[in-house]
Amino acid sequence: MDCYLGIDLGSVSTDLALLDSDYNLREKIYLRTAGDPINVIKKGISDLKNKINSDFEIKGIGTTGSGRKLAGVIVGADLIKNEITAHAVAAAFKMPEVRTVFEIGGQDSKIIIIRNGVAIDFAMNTVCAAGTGSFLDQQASRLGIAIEDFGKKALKADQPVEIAGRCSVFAESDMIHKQQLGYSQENILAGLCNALVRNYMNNLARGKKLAAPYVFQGGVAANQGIRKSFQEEVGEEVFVPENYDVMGAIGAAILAANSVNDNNLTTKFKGFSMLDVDYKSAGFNCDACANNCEIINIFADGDLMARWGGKCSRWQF
Amino acid sequence: MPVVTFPHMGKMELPVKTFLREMDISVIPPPQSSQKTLKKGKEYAPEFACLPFKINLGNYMEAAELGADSILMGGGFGPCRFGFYGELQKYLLQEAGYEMEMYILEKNIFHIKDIIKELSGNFSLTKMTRSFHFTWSKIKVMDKLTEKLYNLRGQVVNKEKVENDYNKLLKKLDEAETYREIDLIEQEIDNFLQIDNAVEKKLTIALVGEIYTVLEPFTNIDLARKLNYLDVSVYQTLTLSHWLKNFFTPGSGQKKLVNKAAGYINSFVGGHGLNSISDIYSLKDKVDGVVHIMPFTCMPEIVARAIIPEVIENENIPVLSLIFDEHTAEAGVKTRLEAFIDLIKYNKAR
Repeated sequence: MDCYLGIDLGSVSTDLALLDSDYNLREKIYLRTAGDPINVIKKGISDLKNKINSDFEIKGIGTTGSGRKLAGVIVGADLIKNEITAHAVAAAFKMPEVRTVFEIGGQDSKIIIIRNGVAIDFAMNTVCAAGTGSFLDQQASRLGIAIEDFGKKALKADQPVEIAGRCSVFAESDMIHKQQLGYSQENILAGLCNALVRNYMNNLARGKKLAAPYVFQGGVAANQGIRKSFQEEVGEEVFVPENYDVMGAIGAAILAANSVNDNNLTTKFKGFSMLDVDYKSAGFNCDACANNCEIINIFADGDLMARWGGKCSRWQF
Repeated sequence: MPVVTFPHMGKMELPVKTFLREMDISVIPPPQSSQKTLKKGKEYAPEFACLPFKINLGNYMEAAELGADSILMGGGFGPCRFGFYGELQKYLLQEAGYEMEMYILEKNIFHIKDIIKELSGNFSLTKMTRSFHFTWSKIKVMDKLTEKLYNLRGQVVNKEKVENDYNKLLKKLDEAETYREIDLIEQEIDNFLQIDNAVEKKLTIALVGEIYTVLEPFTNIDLARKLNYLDVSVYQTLTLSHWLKNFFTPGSGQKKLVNKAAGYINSFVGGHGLNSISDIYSLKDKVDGVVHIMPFTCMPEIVARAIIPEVIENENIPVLSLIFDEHTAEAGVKTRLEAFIDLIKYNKAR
């Protein structure tokens, strides 16, 4: 069976999605990147190899996420695509009539405005931690609850507290204050959900014309409390797609499939033999000018296979 | 005799050097702006001053180490804080232990004349007029050359060749000593590199926003080059000649800009906020999209940014706003640019 693989190499998680030729999801793998992108890709590919039988034939492969270039050279991608486009494509595929996409990941968040299946505007937050999953992670561990239980507990709130959402530092001190006043954990968690959504709306949605149907995806979409806060904020139903946590990878797979099929290409996928190759990266600081660019070399079994990091073309590979 | 330096803003070094040399003023330009420059500047600059302020302060310090003892800096008035920058930088340099004389050029030709007279070992009014004229003809050719680079590099496959040709001509222009030489360079621009190997589809993006960020590649992490390497031509109305014209005749062209902004903005909001909106509106049928850039805390462009969503909605023109500060976050900027170009392409294909 022909299938297409998408890899989303993010800063927090690395996701793989394997689609069949009708773009149904056949396998998905979710791993923590844990600061070791090269090995996490190998781990993902090796897990995939163990999950599928020889009937599956990978005909196309796409990479996305902040590590898309690295993932692309290591696996031999047919298409390397930014995560904003990948998320928009996946959302519009799952729900063709979607008009607004909320996406919240571990270290960034995005809003994508879609009309007639195509993105017309977007914004991305990479600066403020208060609007991302890592903020929730941090607060959950502060309250001593598992991040998986966060949403369920927040839904039980009867009177969510007001928490300042402008900045994660302010939010934390506000939260401690409310906690010492004796508010229940449920109400504090629900307050945090509201604060995060308010921060998201202020940072990303300001000035944008939001319209239903809404889709909410990315790792944080697992949190029912956040979904509820979004629904209250926009006053409409907010849909969470079945595979909300690997939408970027699904988008990359769809785009790779389109690109390979539209142009009649054979895949550049290096095959599972790439698992036996020893990939290494090594960097150095160029001293040709005052910019001191950090140049990164990627080696496969000792041979230079890619290089990036320079501001000029001096070290172009 | 004073040894003069000045802040960098894109390629402004070329005409400033030309003019000062013509006036027999000895000049030491600061080294190219770099991370080191910024690091020096931000050590003494107020945290909330904008990026240009910090870079310029670093420029003076680096030039001082090369032997410069006097600074020529622009002044001005209006809602943008720039008019106050020279004064504050003077104070901060003193505090940091640099003994430099600060000459702030206010927007008044007589005042400028007095400063040049003080600095020049050999001053006459005729000489100054002649030098201005000669410098101006270089600026015009320089702007033309850059316009060509930004346009061409986005359309050809062999981008390095265009860059090399550009650098050669720029060097020639820098060294040109006669009008005849400048004319020859101008002719060369017209036929420099014909497109022999063009990219598949041509896209053009207009670059608008705060002028320093637009003109100085160091602040915008070389946005024009990045777009060009993504096979997109770049067009901008803000040029050095535009800025200088505005500097010497403040308020000129204001009415025209307000007319071009078609009611979206009706007054001068400082800096180039009005230009941004009027450019987006008036270029909407000539370009495929607009990238709007500004330094963090830039008031005039924040005003523009608040108006942009309405323009996007009504006029159907894609606009991407980017803010630049000390952090480089280059990966994030690249992601947004790539997504923005996809957005334009998908919408065109629809």
